[in-house]
Amino acid sequence: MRRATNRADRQVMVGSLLMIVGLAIYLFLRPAGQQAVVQRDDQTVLTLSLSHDQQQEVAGRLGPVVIQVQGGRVRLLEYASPRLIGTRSGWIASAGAMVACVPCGILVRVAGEEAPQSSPDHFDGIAR
Amino acid sequence: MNERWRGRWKTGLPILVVVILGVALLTGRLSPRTQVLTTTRMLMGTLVSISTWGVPPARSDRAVNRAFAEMARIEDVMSSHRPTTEVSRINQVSRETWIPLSDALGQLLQQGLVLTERSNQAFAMGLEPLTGLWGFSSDRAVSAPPPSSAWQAWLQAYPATGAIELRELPDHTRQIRLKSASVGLDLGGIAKGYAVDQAIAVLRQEGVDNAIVDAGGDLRVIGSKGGEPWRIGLQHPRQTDQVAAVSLLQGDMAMMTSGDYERFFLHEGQRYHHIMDPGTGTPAQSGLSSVSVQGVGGSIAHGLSTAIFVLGAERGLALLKQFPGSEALLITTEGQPIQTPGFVGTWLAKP
Amino acid sequence: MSLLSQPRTELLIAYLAAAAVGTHLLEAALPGLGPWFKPGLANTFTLVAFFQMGWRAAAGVALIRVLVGAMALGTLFSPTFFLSLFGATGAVLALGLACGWRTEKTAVALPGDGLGPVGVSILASLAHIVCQVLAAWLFIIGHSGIFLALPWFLLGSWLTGIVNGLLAFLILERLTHSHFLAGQR
Repeated sequence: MRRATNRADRQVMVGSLLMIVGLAIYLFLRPAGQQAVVQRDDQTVLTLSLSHDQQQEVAGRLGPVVIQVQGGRVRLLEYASPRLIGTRSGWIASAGAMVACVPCGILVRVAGEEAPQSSPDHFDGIAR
Repeated sequence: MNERWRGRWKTGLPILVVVILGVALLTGRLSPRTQVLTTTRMLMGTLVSISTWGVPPARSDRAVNRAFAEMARIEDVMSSHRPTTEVSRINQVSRETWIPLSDALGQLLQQGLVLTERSNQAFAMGLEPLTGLWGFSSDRAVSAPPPSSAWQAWLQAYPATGAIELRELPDHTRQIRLKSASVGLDLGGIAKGYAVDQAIAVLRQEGVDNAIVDAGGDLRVIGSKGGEPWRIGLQHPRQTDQVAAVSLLQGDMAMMTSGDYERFFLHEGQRYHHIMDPGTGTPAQSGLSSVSVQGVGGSIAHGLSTAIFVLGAERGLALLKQFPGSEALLITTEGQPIQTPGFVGTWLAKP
Repeated sequence: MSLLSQPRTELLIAYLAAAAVGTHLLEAALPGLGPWFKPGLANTFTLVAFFQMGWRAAAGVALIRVLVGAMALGTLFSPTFFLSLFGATGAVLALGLACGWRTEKTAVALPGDGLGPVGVSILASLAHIVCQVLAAWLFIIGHSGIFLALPWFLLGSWLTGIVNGLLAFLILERLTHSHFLAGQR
């Protein structure tokens, strides 16, 4: 019986495997994950990566506002700040989502394009 | 590459590509994603988003800007948080005097008073002193409830009837009279609905027939996305990154929601939210955490959602029957849904 | 494969297509393997068709497998079906490209004669998964998180490609030594 693979076959085998490994390394090394953009009065004051849990404070119009990242989600943490009422909308995680403390002038938005119209996660509006 | 290969490319590939694209287009999977244009601004103390469909960007921008301008104008009239608005100036005038009203405010107050009457005062527009007492008037909050003597005093002082009186003069202008110092105009339970209605009217004037105006979760849709309904998610009152129900809305439909999860503070494990019950002088404890009302017209739907929240499930649903065409989805504090048969929406959350 | 004396190309295509559909259905019935981890053994028969009768025959077998398989499983025109279709299209196009590497379109490649079944299979298999992932990204998932999983998908396809190629080689060997194709070459 002849050999199942010839030299060209083996070249393709090895070559494609190398490319796959290369791709894996490239993707692994890239800064992963989504980012949250924090704006004060329409100016970006802070950018946070959602990949590691953290807490940052920014100066709002009425005092400091704490932004919390946990488990790939972000929110305005306001309980620690008794002087403030904002819109308490909870955690956001998907690209395009936003929360705001309007009297503080602070807006937090998850960077990236929103899920396209055809995606099952896409909502044209959230009633609350 | 050899001759045979080129030949194959010429015939096979185009046919294949055309077939695939044809099937994909026919099944709507390649529908363009760029036709919904959304603009978001901070307004009325919240995030307001206006989305249009099927309108070229230039015309959409113009219409949306005009709609936002109209909402800002309404805020300048109706907000009780700023000293220079018409509502605040009315509140500053001494009581028991007739004060002339602008047309817009007069119209809204008239609608609201109908609701006040039918809901047996559960919906009230004169609760500004009470709201202030609990710390929800300004952006700076107290994080503990006021002493019970404070709201008992308010309860005693607040007139059982006629807190707000409206009259129409022969020239069709309206005037308002507030009965006592315990009464102050606070339109938080209905003004957003009104603003959304006016924004929709502006969009229509500008030739936009397919849009959503979403004022911090209180929204109204007109038209559709080329036949495909607008997809609206209802936020779960406790797991706020989850959607509790999905509604596919089209035509002309407002969906207004009142809940205890947006403006509130926690004190010793108890939740104090901003929807006041004029019958008790405290935040409403009706066993509900969220009320969504669907209907034609934002002001009434908004007012109804506030009223039903205060009344609770039984009396709230009875009130709803007085407004045919309005439907509701109530969520109890245990997370159970109560849905009227005509409410457009599918419950998603697991109990 | 029975021992008929004057078989036609169409008959072989029919056999291969039937085998492909059968394998496809068997795999679909296998528990535990998700929609992304099917071994894709049905592609073996596409390969056999390709090496035995050329590009058009292979395209035919692939298309029949996707369509009839979807009809049998009740997934016609579902998202799964479109993913399948996109994947198969990609694989078939890759086969077309691979033709350029070969000198004889109907003969099994001899060593040194261009790409053999294993090489072609790997290329087709990779093209298949790339097109499926692209389709899923465009029409179903929408955010680019899926691309992070791509190396795993590619690795799986690489392995499947080798397995399919070897199987195809074995089948082709049997075919050339059987009477089935007497008169074919």
